[in-house]
Amino acid sequence: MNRLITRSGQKKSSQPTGNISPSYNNSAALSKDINENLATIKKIFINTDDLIIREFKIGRELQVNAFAVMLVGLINEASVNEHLIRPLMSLHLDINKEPTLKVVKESALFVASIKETLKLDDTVRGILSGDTALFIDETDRALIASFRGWPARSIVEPKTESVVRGPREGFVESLSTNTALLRRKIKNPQLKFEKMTVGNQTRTDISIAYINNIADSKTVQEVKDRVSRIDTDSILESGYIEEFIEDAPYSLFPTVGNSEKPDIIAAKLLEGRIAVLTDGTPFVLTVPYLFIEAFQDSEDYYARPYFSTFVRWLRWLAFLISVFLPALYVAITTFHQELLPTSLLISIASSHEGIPFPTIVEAVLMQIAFEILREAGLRLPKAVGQAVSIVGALVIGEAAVSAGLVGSPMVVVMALTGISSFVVPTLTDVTTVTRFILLLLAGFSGLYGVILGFAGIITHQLSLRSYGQPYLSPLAPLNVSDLKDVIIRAPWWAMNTRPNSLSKNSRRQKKSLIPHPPREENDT
Amino acid sequence: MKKVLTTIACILLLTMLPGCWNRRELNTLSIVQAVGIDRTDTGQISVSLQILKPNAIKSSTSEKDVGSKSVWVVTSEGETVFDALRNSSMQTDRKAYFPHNTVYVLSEELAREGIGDELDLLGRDPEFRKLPYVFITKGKAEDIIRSSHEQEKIPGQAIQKMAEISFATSKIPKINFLELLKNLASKTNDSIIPGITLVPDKSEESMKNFVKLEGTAILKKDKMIGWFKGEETRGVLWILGNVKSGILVVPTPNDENKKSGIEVIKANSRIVAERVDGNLEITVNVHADGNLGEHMGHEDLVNPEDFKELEELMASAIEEEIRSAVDKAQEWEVDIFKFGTEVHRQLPKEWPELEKNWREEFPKIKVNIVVDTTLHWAGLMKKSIQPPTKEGGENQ
Amino acid sequence: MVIIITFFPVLDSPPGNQDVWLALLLSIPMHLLLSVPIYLLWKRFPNQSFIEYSQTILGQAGKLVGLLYVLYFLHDVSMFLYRWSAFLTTAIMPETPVLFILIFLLPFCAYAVLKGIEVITRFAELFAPFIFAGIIIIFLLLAKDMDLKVFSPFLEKSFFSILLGALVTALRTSEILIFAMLLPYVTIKKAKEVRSMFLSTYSILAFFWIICVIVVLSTLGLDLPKVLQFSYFDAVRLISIGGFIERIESIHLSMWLISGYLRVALYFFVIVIGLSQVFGLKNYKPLVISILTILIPISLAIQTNITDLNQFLNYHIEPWYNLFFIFIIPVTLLSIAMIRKQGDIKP
Repeated sequence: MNRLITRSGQKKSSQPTGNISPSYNNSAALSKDINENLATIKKIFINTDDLIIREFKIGRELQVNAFAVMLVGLINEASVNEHLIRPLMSLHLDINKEPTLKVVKESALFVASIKETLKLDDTVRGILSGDTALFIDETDRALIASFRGWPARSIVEPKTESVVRGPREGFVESLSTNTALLRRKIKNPQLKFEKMTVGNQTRTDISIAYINNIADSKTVQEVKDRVSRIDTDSILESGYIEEFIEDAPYSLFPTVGNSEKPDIIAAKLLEGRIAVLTDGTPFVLTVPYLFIEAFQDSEDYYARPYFSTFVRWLRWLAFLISVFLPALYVAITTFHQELLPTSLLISIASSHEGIPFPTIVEAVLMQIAFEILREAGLRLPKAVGQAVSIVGALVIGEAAVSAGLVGSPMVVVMALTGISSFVVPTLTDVTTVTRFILLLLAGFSGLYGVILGFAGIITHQLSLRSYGQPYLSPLAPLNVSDLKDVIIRAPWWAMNTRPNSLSKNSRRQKKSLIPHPPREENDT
Repeated sequence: MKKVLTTIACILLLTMLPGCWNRRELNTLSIVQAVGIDRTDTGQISVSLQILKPNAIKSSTSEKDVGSKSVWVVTSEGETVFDALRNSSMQTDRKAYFPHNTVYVLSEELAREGIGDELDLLGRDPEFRKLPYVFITKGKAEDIIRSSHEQEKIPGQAIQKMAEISFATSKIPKINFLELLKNLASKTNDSIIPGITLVPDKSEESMKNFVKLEGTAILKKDKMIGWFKGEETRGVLWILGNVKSGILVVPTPNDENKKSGIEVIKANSRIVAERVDGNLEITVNVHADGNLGEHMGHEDLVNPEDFKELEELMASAIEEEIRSAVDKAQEWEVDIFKFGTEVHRQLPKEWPELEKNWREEFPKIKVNIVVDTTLHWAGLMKKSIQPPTKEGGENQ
Repeated sequence: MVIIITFFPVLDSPPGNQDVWLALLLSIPMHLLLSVPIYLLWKRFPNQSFIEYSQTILGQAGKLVGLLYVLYFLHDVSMFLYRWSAFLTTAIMPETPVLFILIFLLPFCAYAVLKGIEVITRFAELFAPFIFAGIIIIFLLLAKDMDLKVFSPFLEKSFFSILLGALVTALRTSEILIFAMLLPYVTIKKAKEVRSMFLSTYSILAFFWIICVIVVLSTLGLDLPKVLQFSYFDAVRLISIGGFIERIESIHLSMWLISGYLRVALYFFVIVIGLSQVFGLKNYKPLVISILTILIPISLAIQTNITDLNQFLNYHIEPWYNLFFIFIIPVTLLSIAMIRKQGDIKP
């Protein structure tokens, strides 16, 4: 009998999360009776041993019943003791002077952030977020005071985005720290943070940041709409949100950008983009995201313009190499050998003698091997890392060539491709897949296939929009003034306007700020 | 809608599955470096192909046996050139691959009968490019293809490079296939093709033969009619403006027994066509710049008077070469100087008439030769190595 | 905002003598002349495409005209596809059957058409500079092989023959009709800007065509191109600098492929739009697949071998055939519209 009941009970509770109501009634109000409140809280948090319920009496003389609820580990205990319990316990209250709650809220609690609420739901949420809830007898309101403090990662340079010159701060997992980091960069009241909560089980806090007079208000609204439409169990990382709010879910290309560094996000906000910060992850999303942004790095703007321009071109070149080189190599050596100079052809032909695989198979195998190596390299424990990379790269490569399994030009091609794919880190996933597609096309139909594939990819890219911005602007539709930040890196004194397509407020700085040495009075 | 898409996708995949028709792995190609065309005794066409062996090149980092093993030669016969070429696949295990071919050699025997027919394939088939160099050989083309070269692993490439340095003497023209085609397509021009012969290797007792460029074949339309020697060829090249360098041997001023060599630096020509007294007259103006390259003798030639005399000697040497070429060409009735094109340009109104009878008109043209020369430098020495003789020389 | 740059790959140089470049230059005014009726028709019906306003003018009979034009476009595309696959088959990939080439190309074009005209035009905008740059690079690389004396004597034949050549050249480009079909999508509404758009397109076209002609004639001479099937390609193959930069016909090939892709996509789009306009369909997208399947067999069936193609493209037949569609019918439509006082008549 028992089993039957439990089984049916289990079945009920394992319903799909279409029915996502928590284990209490959302819209329940608090009651005036403190004991009832206490009972409710205990019932909600049953079997939750990290909950602290501290019952005490407020006021020296009056002794009003009260209890505070908090979750251990999420609070700054010393602070709670000093600034909540102590002042309340030693409070001087006059009877019939004022309602207790008001006195407590306005005069007794030494805390910066405090809220008053009627609803049970808010209280529970507050507790779960690390606040301390204070219930007072005879009041149907609860006070939620913020004494948050939990161990968090310190602000270090992010591993994925390191720079030679520039700030080395990176975001951390705590939303408030992240917003603080942004605030430190942009000291402007127009920088707005709008908080939202997503994820039915996880109730993750996210914050939508934008600069009011620069960003396009329609886009901001669109972002908010899309985020509020998310109706899912959990949001553990911003990547989840990214997939819910992106424009082209079937596309290979990302239409939402991300970064770990506050200076990058701040720069993007200043261009008129909108950022989405997620609690629990240091990666902040930015929308709209254009293709060319993958080639812009924060360091470009701190180093000198000529070098940055050169490095930009190098990035474009590396990207093209990493996408096209294997496909072109296969296409030309199997279909269009007449395109190679004779001596090159002889070298490649001679190294291809005796290789058991046709070129396309060779290329695919090498590609897979390379990807395996790369993936393994990411997960290696540090101690073993160096040895394995040496083994992988040198020994296997060398041995494979000597054994006659692959030809050395193929190894060269693959190595070059692989290295190039790391020059533009944000697009690594895109390049890998595209490379494979083009490689297969090349194997089947040579240069013809590659070029058609290329045309197809460009067509696809052209049809993408990221929050209303054409994906390939400013290249197509051509916007020459925006190109100053794409093809070259114009010096700062020349960057007069923000990217036109993103914001209507385009003037960024005074014109003709080019520096010059002080002019003599006699000079004409 | 979905069904339609899936069927289309299936069709696409099916067509792609067997792999594309045109795919050729590298080790299924025979890379041809030189092509020779002969006429056999039975009247058929014999084709010789010099094919690369990438294996040999790969492993020949040690210079044990350079040249002989990197290529091999396949000869095959057929009724037409195309037929013969395809027949060669019966001996090679890989299909012949022509885009990297750089040399065509035709035998004189074939050329005398007319090469236009044989060359059709080479212009029509896309695998044959238009930049390889063309040569005619006195003997059999096959022998040239079989020859080897000391300095290069691949004899075909050696021949190509020889053609490219032919400007050093300018006694041999450098004709690529395109030039030939252009001339053949023109109604009035005739062609010249460099000649190539075999020279036995004098070292050791090896059986190898080396190639050498020698002579120029003259074609009337597409039939070969004769050979020009080195100087006559240079005469042609002076007119065509193709002389880039070369050595003119002139007698030393003040001493007819000794010779001096003048290095030609630059030369160009201008052709003027006009009607004089109802006759067509063409004036060839050649301007040449040179340096004193070699002076065999005791005299000190680096002075204004001697230089002037050298210039005159140079001019007359050039004029002689040109004259010999023109005379011979007019005798054979071949317009190898592209006079026809020039007359077209300069006397357009008369050209349609002239064009029809150009073959007869050409020998009637009175050709004036005007040569203008300048000598510039004299190398590192002002005076000759040997001390001057007692007469007229300076002390020390 | 949507500026259409149409261009097409250059296959064979036009017939004639060395004054051909002059004929090309003069083809610009010829083009403009020929586009006058289209332009005037646009002024009257700024929001309608050619097929739409032929229905407006002629009523039901207009549908027949529309259908006729759709067939014309179909024919044009099929011929183009045949030419294109002829080049690919002869010069680049000899053993691949034509069917495969077409089957491979068309889904990509269909994809582009499905994405809409904006994508197609942006594609053109993106690649046009590269293609122009490619032509200029080829020109520069062949500069040392060019023999400019080829172009004298000047004006050897009569001026009239040059004019005729200009007319013939202008008539080869049926792009004028594409304009007619696509003008309603262009957001430039002012007449002056439309005129300058016409002018600039033709000038750019003519300019690049002239460059190609110069390249071909000066490297291959005057007589040889008449003999060669694909003169420009042969000229490109001649590029050889420093013994290293050779064989870059791959650049030419890629330009060719991309422009071919673009042109087919564009025509494809026009056909589909046209059909949807004739039959009054709201959305053209379902038609894409059906047209796709028709195109392949048509383009294969339309010509049997290369000789037919050559003859048709020859001087004698194609231009006059085009004249009918480009000029005569629009003029008729225009006169009917004027007589019936239809459309937007603004001074």
